[in-house]
Amino acid sequence: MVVVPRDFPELVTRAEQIVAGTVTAVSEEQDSAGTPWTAVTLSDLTVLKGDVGATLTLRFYGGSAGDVAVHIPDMPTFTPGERALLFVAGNGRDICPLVGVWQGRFRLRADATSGDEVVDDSDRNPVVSRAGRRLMRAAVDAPTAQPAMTFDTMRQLVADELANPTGNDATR
Amino acid sequence: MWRIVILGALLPVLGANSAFGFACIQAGNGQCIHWAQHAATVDTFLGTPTRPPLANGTATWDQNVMSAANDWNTSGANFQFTVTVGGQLFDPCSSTPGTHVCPNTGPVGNNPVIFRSNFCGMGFGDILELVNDCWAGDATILNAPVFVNSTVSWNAYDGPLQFPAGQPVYDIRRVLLHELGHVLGLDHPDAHGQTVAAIMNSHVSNLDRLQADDRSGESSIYGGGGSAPSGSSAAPTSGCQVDRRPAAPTVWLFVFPLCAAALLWSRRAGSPGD
Repeated sequence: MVVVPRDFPELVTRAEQIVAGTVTAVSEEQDSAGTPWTAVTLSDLTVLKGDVGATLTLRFYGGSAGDVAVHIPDMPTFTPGERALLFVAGNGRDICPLVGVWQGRFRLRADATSGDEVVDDSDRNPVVSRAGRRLMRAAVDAPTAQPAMTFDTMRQLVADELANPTGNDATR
Repeated sequence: MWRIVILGALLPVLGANSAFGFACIQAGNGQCIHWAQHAATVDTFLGTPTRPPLANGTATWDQNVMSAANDWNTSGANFQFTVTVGGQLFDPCSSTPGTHVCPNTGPVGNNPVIFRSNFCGMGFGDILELVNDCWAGDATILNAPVFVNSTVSWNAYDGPLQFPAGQPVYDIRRVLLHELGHVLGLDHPDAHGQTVAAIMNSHVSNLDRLQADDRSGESSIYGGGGSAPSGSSAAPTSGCQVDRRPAAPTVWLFVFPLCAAALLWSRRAGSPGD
């Protein structure tokens, strides 16, 4: 698929919920029309924006339907046990419930040195800083020597953006 | 569930920079999804723009489908698209019973390219264009309709992405080129830790033509083009799940044996689907 590029202020503005959590279940289901969905449930939530209960289940289009499989290439997939920071919009309405599809999905992991929880993008590139409207990623936008951003720093960036929005919501 | 495999992991020769990146969509049996006959027919129903010609001189959207398909056809791989314009549309979103081999697709081998404002009643969200790939348990692709989001601004042009008056206008030709890559079974190399120039990268860019990596990816699935496996009608097979991070050359000293072992294991296990 090809998607609209979304920068950091757009991720924050367009998200209906912003949550960090642990993926506790991934299951396939079909709705009454036979459309296959993959349900991803997160628990142990830290809510940065929006109203969310104790758990959050997101529905992504695609999965198995009988003896065939149907799939939109590059729909985000999840594994139980992984930690994620997600910018959620359109859950249950859109075929992907994340702002900008993979752009609204970040991976959280424990830094091998500090033990701090740090942030990678969906392609596992460490997020190292914010520059203007962009999140800079090691090896992609910034020198690799920079340390990965901690989740606490990212949480503060989100809080700052919510308190003082820097940008318009862009255009499609 | 599907998994993704980086085909380049099975290539026997990797240079010091290991600048491969192409990836295929992998079915549950460990094989790359693929068209069994090394061919697919795409039926385009995009029609004519309100104010032709388009910026690249084409008179219809459909001509851009043909142009994009022709790029893949001339890449040297053992695969051919056939494009038909118009004709009878089997609507992927219709509720006619018995006509959909997969939900929101159509009959076997039916691959329409259509403008829609939503995906069978579900919102596109931030998606500009998508392929709804449908495959069987043996990893053969059954059909792959292409949906183009009609609510965004499209034109057809070469060169850098255009933002007149700050608003993006998307080049449908390069996006179709990308989506047809999905139709034939390729996935995004940059979504798997690889840094290569490729039309199949997940982010639309100033690239407007197939790159060497794209051609290598197509050849890896279908043979031809000097890339393995060539001349084989057997399904492209891989049983290894390669780590998505860029690998230093020395890593391949143990990744390759692991892949070979996984391949043997998957062939023994061999059950279709997950």
